Amino acid sequence: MFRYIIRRLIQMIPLLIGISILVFLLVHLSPGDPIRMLLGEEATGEDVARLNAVYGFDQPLPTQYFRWATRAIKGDLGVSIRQTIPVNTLIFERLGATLELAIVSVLIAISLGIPIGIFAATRRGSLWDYLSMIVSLIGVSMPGFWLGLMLLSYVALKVDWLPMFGRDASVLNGLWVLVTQFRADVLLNALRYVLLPATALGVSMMAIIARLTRSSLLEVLGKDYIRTAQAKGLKHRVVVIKHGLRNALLPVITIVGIQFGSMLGGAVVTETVFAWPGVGRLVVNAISQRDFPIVQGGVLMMAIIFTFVNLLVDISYALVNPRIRYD
Amino acid sequence: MKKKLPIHHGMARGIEKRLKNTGLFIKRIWSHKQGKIGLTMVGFLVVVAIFAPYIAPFNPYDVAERTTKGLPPSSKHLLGTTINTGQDIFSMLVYGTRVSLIVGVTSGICIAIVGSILGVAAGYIGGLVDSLVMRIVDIMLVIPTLPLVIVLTNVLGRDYWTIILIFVALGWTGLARTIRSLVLVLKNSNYVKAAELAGASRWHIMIRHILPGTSHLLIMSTALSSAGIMVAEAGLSFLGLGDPTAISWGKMLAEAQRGGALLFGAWWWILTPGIGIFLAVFSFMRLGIVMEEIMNPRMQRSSGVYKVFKNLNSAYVEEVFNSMDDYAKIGVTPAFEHGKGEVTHETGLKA
Repeated sequence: MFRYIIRRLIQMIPLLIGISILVFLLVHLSPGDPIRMLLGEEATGEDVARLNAVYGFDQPLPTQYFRWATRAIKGDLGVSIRQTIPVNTLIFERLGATLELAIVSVLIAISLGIPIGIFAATRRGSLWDYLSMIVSLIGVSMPGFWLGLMLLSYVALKVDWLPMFGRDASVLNGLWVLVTQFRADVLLNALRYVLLPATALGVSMMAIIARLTRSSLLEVLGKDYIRTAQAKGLKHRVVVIKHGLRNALLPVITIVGIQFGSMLGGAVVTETVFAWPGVGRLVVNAISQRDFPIVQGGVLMMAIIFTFVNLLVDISYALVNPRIRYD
Repeated sequence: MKKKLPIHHGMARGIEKRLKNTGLFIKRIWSHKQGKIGLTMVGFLVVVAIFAPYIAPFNPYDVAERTTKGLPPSSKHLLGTTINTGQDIFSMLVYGTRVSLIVGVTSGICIAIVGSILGVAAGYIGGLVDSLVMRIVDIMLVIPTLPLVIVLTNVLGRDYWTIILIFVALGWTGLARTIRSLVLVLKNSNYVKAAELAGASRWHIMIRHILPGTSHLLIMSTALSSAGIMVAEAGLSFLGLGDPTAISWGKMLAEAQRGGALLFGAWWWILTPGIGIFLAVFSFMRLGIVMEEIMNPRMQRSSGVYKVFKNLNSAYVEEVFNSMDDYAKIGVTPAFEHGKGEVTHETGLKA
C-alpha cells in the first residue's frame, strides 16, 4: 500500500508539469494585454513597457514559464496584477470557502442519498421505491445553479433567517468556538450562510448517490452470502446494513470522491448565484481581467487538489474492500 | 461501367437495410415504457426547435418587437416580458430550445466520432498510438474542466461553433478510454482473430469488426453526453461566457438574476428556462439509458442506471456530465485502468 502511494505520487509529477505548461500556454495565448487593460487607454507605450518588464512579460515565453514554474515549486505563485496581493494569499483565502461549500454539500448528499437508496432498495417495486427514484432522476437532470435560483426566490426571500448572499464566518471557525467557548452562535451563523448554496450544489450528487446505492445494494442483496446470512437467522436490518451495505458502498465512494474533486472547480456557477467567495469565482473574474498569475495559480491548485482527492478515493477503495490490493 | 453497378446495388441495399434497422430500433425504444417517455419528449423538443418561428408569437432576436419592460404574464405575452429589455419571455424560451439542442446534440455526435476513432486506434493499434492517446487522456482528466473551458473561450472566441469545439476537445477523453478497454477485449475475440488470419487489413478490421462492437456504447454516449453538454452550456451561458448573440436558457437565467426577477417576484422568468433545461436533459438521459438497455441485453433492467455508470467507466461521465456544473459524475479510479490485467471493477472486463 505504501509503495503504491509513493508510486502514485511520483506519477503525479509529469502530470502536473503537463498541466502547468498547458495552463500557462492557454493563459498567455489568450488575446488581451493585461498591462494595457490595467493602465487603460491613456497609458503611454513607455509605461506599458516598464510594467511589462516588472512582471517579466517582456521575456520569451519559455523563460517566463521556467521562472513561474520554479517559483511555484517553492510554493510561490506570484503576485496578482490587479490586486498586487500574493496569489497564494488570495487562493488560500478563497480555497477555504470553496472547500467548505463542497464538504457541506457532500455531507448533505451522503446523509440524504444513502438512506434514500437503502429505503428504496429494501422496498423494491413499491410506491416508495418508485417515488424516490423519480425524485432522484429529477435531481440528476436539474442544473444546480437553477435550483440555487429557485431556492433563493422561494426559500431565502420568504425565510428571514436564511441570508441570500455571501458568507460570514467559516463553519470550521464556528466549530472551534463551539468546542472552546461552548457558544453555538458562530456555528449557526456560518451554517445559515452555507445551507442554501450547499443544498443547490449537493442535490444532483444526492440523487446519484441514492440511485447508485439502490441499484448497487439490490445487486449485492441478490448474492449467496446474503442468503446465508438470512438463513443464519440474522435480523433483516443487520443483513442489509452490515453485510449488504458495506459491499454496496464501493461505487458510491468512488462517486463521492470524484464528485468532490470536480465540485471544487464546478462550484463556480453555484458560487456566482450565491455570491459565495470561492476560488472558482476568483479564477473566472481573474480571466476577464487578464490577471494571469491568479488564473495560472488557481487552475494549478485545483488540479493538484483534484489529483490528491483521486488518490484518496483509490486508497479508500482498498480500505472498504479488502479484496483490492494495490501493489 | 457495368462492373460498378452491383456495388451501387449493394450500397443501396445496405442503406435500405440500415434504414429498416433504424426503424426497428426506434420501434423497440418506443415499446419500452421509459423509452416512450424519452422519445416523446425529445420529439417534442425537436418540433419546438424546428418550428420555433411559428410557435413563438414574437421574434426575440428582433429589436423592433420589444415592448414595454417587465409586463406580467397575459394572453398576449404568455410569460410576460423581461424587465431589462422588454422581450417576450415565452418566445425566448421557444427559441432557446434551438441553442440547447444544436449545441448538445452536435457536441454529443462529435464526441462519439472523435472518441471512437481515438479509442479504437489506441486499443487496436496499441504501442505508441495507445500510450500517446492515453497520456493525453490522463492529463485531460485531472484538469478541472470549467476553468479550462473558460480559459479556452477566452483564447478561441465565444460563438457557438467554437463552444461546441471546446466541449468536444474536452469531452472525448472518457469515451475514448471506455472504448479502448472494450476494444482490448474485442481484439482477442475469435472473430477478429479469424479476420486477421484471413488476411484482412487493419483498417478493414477496425471499421468492419471492431467499430460495430462498440456501437452500443457510442449511441448511448451520444445521448448521455448531449444531456451533459446541455447542462454545461446552460452553466456557461449563465456565467455570461456563452455566445453573446444567441438567446439560450442559461443566458435567460443570468438575465433574470441580473434583471432582478427575484426582487420583482417574476418567478415565471426563473422557473421556465430551468424547466426547459431540465426537460432536455431528462429526456436525453432517459433515451440514452433505454438505448443501452436495449442494445446490451446482458444488462438487467432493474439496475439500468448502475450498469450504465459501471460500463461508462467513470471518466467519460465524469468529463461530460460533470463537465461544468455540479453534475452527475460517475467515477472510476485510474488505478484500475492501466492495471496489469486485473479485472476492472467498472467493466468487469479484462483490461
